[in-house]
Amino acid sequence: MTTVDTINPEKRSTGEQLLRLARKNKLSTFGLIMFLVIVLAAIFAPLIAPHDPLEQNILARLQDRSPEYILGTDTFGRDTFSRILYGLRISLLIGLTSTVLAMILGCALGIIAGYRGGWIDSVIMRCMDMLLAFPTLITGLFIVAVLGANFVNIVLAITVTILPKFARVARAPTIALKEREFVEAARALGFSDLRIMALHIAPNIVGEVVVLASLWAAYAIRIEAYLSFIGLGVAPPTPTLGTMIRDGFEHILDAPFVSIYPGFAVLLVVLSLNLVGDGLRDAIDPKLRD
Amino acid sequence: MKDLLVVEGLGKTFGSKKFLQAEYAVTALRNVSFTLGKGETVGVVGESGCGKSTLARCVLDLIEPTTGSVLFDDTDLTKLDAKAKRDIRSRIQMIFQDPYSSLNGKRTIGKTLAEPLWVHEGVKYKEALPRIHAVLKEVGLPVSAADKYPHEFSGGQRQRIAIARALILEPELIIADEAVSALDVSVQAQVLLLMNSIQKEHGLSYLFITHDLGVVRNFCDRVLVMYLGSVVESGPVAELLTNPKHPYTKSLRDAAPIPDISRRQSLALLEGEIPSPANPPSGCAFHPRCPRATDICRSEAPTLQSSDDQRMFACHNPEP
Repeated sequence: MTTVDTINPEKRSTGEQLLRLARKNKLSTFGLIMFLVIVLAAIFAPLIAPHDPLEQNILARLQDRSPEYILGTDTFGRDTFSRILYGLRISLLIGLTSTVLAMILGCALGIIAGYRGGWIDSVIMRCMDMLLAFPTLITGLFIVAVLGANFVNIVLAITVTILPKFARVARAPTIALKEREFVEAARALGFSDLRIMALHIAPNIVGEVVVLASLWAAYAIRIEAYLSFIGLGVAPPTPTLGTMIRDGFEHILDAPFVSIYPGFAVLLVVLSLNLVGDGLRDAIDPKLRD
Repeated sequence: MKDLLVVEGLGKTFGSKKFLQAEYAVTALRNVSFTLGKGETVGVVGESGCGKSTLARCVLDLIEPTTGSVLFDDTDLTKLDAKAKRDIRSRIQMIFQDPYSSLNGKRTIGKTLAEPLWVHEGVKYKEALPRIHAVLKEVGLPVSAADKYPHEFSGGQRQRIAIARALILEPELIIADEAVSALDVSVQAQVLLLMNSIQKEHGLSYLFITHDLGVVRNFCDRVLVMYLGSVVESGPVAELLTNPKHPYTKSLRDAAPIPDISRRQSLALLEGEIPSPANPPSGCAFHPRCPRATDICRSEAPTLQSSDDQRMFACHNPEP
């Protein structure tokens, strides 16, 4: 690497930087590829799936792997592999939607709290603390139990449980940024607070937040699986990974694979997101960059 | 000459009274008054922590002053509501000390320059381009700079961009808070020359905050010397520097390096540091460091008195 690069790392184009990072952090690149494969598999599930996920074949129930049923069948003789593909769709959709929602709302709250300070800060952050005080699963459970288990409410429940984390992460850099002279300059130019928060502060914290979003997306997918597992997920017969694991529990001793394969799918999704998140975190931490 | 800016009795006390926390109060600014005419440059000098920057921010109302008034073109800025305050900001601009943190690294120079035009005049980026190019040329940057990001420029170039941003709304007053102290000496001179020529062209007034008397000597018409939040001496630059009345002004002048070793002997250099504004000394705030201090300085704070119509100083035992 040349000296010019060290002095001015920002000068490299984004593409070049990404390539360099990819070469250096092979594990994260692997995670990213894995995640993309999973997402593509979920998107093209109807094309890939060998069977209808809802089609029952009582004659072939609780079968282990076979050429016909790649990952075996469940209690009703439904193809596990096809159900996993369709289950991924729901899991990813719920996990990613709620993460993006929580990111937008949480950052908005965190930036307002950090920028305004004073009692507004206290009110917002104490509310966030209250949400954080409950174990994550309990908050989610409570919301779904009260509002009923459907797609929208599950997204809402997961959003609410991870929202305070985003608020906290957005607030700290906001407090640092609002003392920076470019924010003062923006105020001196007579810009409104909303404009300063949205156009001057938010773009400067987006990097840090996105890193954490990738880690919490994995968490959101896990919460979705927990909720489905205890029967508060999307209603059957729609396959979700959590529901599939639970269904297999009745036969955990004689046919453990019914639970194990969807469990393994959850593992892969969470693992890939965590690897991506770790890589991104290393990428924005200048101490680890070179 | 009609005064553009009249500051009267400006004071700022930072304090906190919170539940279960010790109360504290720091007086950063104490009864500061001065005027600034159209096309005039007034310098504010003093050590770090003497309240220069607080003064700048209070004048611009980035910080709300505790007492006093700031009359800009006969409008009291301290009494305006938020909307009117934002509108008047198009007429007063500020240049900051650190050109590395005063520009938003995520926006191109063109966008940074276009934003004030959009906010105040509703001019879209495409329509604003001719004006952006004009102002970039005026500060000596190529037109292509509009598409670049701040990190692609050097400190001096960035400060030019900051000046361009301050100029684009064609303000009447520019407050420069240590605008050149972060720059190399050669670049300082360039930027000062630029600011000077802009002043002549647009008839601007500058409130120029610095700790560098050399800069003041070459750039300002009048100067205020501040110590621990108060003005201790003010007057026309040439007179004030040749014949300082306040011992603090004298020591500030003498602290500026002179490339002549034979003159070193007679210098009155200051010892010690500026006292904490949270716990100011009794009487004259300068007495613990003053070579001319007497008993009255320890007990009674001097008030600003005028020696003639232009000069003011606050000292019991002024220099001859």
